Amino acid sequence: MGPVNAETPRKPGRRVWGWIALSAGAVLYLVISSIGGTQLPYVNARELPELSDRRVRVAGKVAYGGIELDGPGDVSIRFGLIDEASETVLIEYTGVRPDAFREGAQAAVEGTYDAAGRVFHASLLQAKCPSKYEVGLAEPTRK
Amino acid sequence: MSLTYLGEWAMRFDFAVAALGTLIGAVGLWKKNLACLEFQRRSLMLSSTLVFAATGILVYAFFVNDFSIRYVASYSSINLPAGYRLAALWAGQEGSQLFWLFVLAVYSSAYMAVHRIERGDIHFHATGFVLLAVQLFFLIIVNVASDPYTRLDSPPPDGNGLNPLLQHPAMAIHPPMLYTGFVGMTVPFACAMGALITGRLDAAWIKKCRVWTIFSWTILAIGIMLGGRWAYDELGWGGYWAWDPVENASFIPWLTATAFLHSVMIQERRGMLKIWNMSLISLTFLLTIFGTYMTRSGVVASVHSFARQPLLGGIFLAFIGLTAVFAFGLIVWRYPALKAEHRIESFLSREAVFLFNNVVLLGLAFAVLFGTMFPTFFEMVKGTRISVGPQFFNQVTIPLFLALLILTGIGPTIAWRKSSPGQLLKNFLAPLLGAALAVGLLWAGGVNQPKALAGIGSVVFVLGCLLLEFIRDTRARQRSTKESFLPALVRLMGKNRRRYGGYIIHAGVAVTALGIIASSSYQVHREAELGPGQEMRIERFRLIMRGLTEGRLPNATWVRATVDVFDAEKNIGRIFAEKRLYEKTEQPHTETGLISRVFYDFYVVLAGWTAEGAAILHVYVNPLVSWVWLGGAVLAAGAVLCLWPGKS
Repeated sequence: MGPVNAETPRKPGRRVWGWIALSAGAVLYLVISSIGGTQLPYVNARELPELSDRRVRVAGKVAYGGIELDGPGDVSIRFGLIDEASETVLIEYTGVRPDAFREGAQAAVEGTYDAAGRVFHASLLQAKCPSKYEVGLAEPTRK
Repeated sequence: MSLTYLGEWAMRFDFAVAALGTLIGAVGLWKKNLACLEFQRRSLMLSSTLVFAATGILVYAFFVNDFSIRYVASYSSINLPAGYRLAALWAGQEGSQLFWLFVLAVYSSAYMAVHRIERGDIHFHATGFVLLAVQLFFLIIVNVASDPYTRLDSPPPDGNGLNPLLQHPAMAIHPPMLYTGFVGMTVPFACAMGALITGRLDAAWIKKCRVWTIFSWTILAIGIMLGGRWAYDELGWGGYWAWDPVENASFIPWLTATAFLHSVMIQERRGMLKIWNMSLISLTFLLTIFGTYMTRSGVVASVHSFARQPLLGGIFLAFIGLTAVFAFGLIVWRYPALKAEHRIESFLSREAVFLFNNVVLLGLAFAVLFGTMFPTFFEMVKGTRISVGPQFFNQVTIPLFLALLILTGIGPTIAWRKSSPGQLLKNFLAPLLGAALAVGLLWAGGVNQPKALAGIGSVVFVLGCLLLEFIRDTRARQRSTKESFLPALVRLMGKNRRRYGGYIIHAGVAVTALGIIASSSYQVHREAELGPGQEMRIERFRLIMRGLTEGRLPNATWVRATVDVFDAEKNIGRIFAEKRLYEKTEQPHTETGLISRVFYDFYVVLAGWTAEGAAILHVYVNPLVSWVWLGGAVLAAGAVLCLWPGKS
C-alpha cells in the first residue's frame, strides 16, 4: 500500500477520468470508422448493369406468377423481383427459402448481377417476417 | 357480443381519467397538496383497472370470435387453438400497444401495492405521477393512432387466422417477456424522476428503484434469450441472433440498464456520478420507448417491422422529445443537489473498473443503435438506401464484448476506493494462469482462431476470478464460525444475497459468452442431396437418410425427412426435419430437426426435395450452443437470489 499513497490525492482521479475520456473516444472512433467498409447499397433494376460483379442489395416485391421451380421441394429457384420503380429483375437463388417468401411478399436479395446473362445471383434472400403483417381485411390482395 | 363494447368504452373513458389525474397530480405536486395527490393516486388505480378491463375484454372478444372488431378478424379464426387466442393479442400493431399499456398497468398496480405504506410520502406520489403520465401517453396511442377496437361495418364469417410462424410456444412467452422487461424500466425511471421532482436525492430512491430495475433487467435478459431460442428453433438458418433491428431494439436498453445497475452502486457507496445515473436511467427509459417506436412505426426497415404509420410515429417522436426535455430539464434544475461527494482515488479501484464498464456498455449501446439507425439517417440525408449487415455489428462489438467480459471478472474482485498492486496480483494470478493454461490446451487441441482463443481465455479468467472469490469469502467465514465448507458457503450467500446473486449473474454471462464464442467460431455447415438409404459425413458424425414421408395436419400438409445420426458407430438419435404448407395462408413453414447434447447441437433443415424422393438437407453442427441458454438459466438463478425477499 505504501508507495501508491505517495502521490497527491487529486491526481489519480484526474488521470482516471483522462483515460476514460480517451477510451470513450476510441470506442466512438471504432464505431464510426467501421460503418464505411461494411455497408451495402440498395440499388434499382435500372442501375444494375453498371454495377455488375459488385455486391449490392435489391429490395422489392416478389412478382405474381414469377416463381419458377420444379415442385415445392426444389431448392434452386428463379423469380422476378419488382423494385420500387416497378421494374423487374430476374433473381436466381439456391438454398433454404425463408418461410415468408412467396408471391407478393416483400423481399430483399443480396448478391451480384450478371450483366451478360441478365440475371441477379443472390446469395442471401430475406422475406419480410409476417408476424406483424397488416394482411387480409385491411389490405386486400391487389395487382 | 355487446359486452365487447364495454372494453372499448373502458379504453375511451380511461383517456379522460388519466388526463384528469395527471393534471390534478401536477397541481398536487406543485402545491404539495395531499388531497390532489390522493386524487391522482386513485386515478392511477382506476386507470389501471380500466386498462385491465379493456385488455381482458379484447381477449374475451378473441374467445367469442367477435369478428366485428377488425383486430380480432385480422388475427384470429374460428379454428384457432385457445392458447394462441391469447397470443393473438400481441400479434399485431394495435393489440401490442394495448398490451404495452396493460403491462404498465400491472407494474403501476404492483408499485402501489408494494409501497402502499408510503402513501403519506410525496416521493411515492411523484413516482405515481410519472407512471400515470406514461399511461396517458399510451392511452393517446390506442385511442387516437392505433385503435384495437376499430369496428368493421360488415363482420366477416371467419377471421384471417394467426400466422403459423407465431403458432409456437416461444411466441406465446417471448413477446410478453420482452414487454415485461421493456415496460418495467418505466418504474425505476419514475422513481428517479420522483426523486428529482421532490428534491429527495439521498440514497433512498436508489434502494427503492433497484429491485424494480433488477427485476425488469432480468426479465428483459430472459426475453431476449427466448427470442434467440425461437429464432434458432423456428427460422432454420442454424443461428439465433442476426442483428435484426427488432432484436437490437430490445438489446440497447438492456445494455444501458446494465450500465445503470453498476454505476448506481458507485453512487450508493461513494456518493458519486449522481447526474450520470439520472441520465442513464432516463436514457434507458427513452430507449425502450424509442425501441417501441422503431419497431412499431416502420421507420426502420426490418424483417419484422410493421407497416409505416406516420401519425403513430409522430406521436411517438413527440413523446420522446417531451420526455427528454422533462427528464434533462429536471436534472439541470436539481444540478446543485447532484454534486459528487467524493473523488476517484485510484485506478486500481472498483469505481474505476465500473467507469470503464460504463464506457464499454454505452459504447456497445451506441454501436448497436448507430448501426441500426444508420440506414434510416443515410436515406434521409442522401436519398438512397443502404444496408448495414451483421459484418458491421460483429466487427465493432466483438472487441467491446471481449473487454466487457474481462471486466466481468475484474469488477467483483477489486476493492472499493483503492487496491494495492500486490493484492491484485494475488487475486488475479491464479485466474490468469488458468486462462493461459486453457488457451494453451485449446491451441494444442487445434483451436486456432485468435478471437475464439481470446474469448475462451477471458471466460476461464472470469469464472476463475468468481470461483476464487467464493472460496476466499467462505474460508474467511469458516475461520470465524468453524463451520464446514458447504454450510459456510450457503450461509454466506444467504447473508449477502445481493452480492453473491450478482456474482452468479456474472458467471451466467460468462457461460453464455462461451456458448456464443464456440458456436459462432466453430459452426460446421454442410448441404447434401440424399436419397433413401444414402448417407453423408459431417465432422465425426454420420447421417443416414431413411426416407421422405408425406402427411396431413388439420390445417396443413407436411413433407418429412427421417434421418438417423451416428457418432462413430453409436446411434445418437433420430431427427425429423419437416416442411409444412399451411392451407389457409399457403404459408410454408420449416420445422427444424434437432438433437441437443451438452457439447454440440445437431441441427437439420429440410431445404427441399427432388421428384425422385431425395431430400436436400442443410446440416449444422453447433458446438456448445446450448450453453447460451444454460448461461441464461444461471443468470436467472442469480437474479432470483438477488431479489429473494427478506432481510439480506
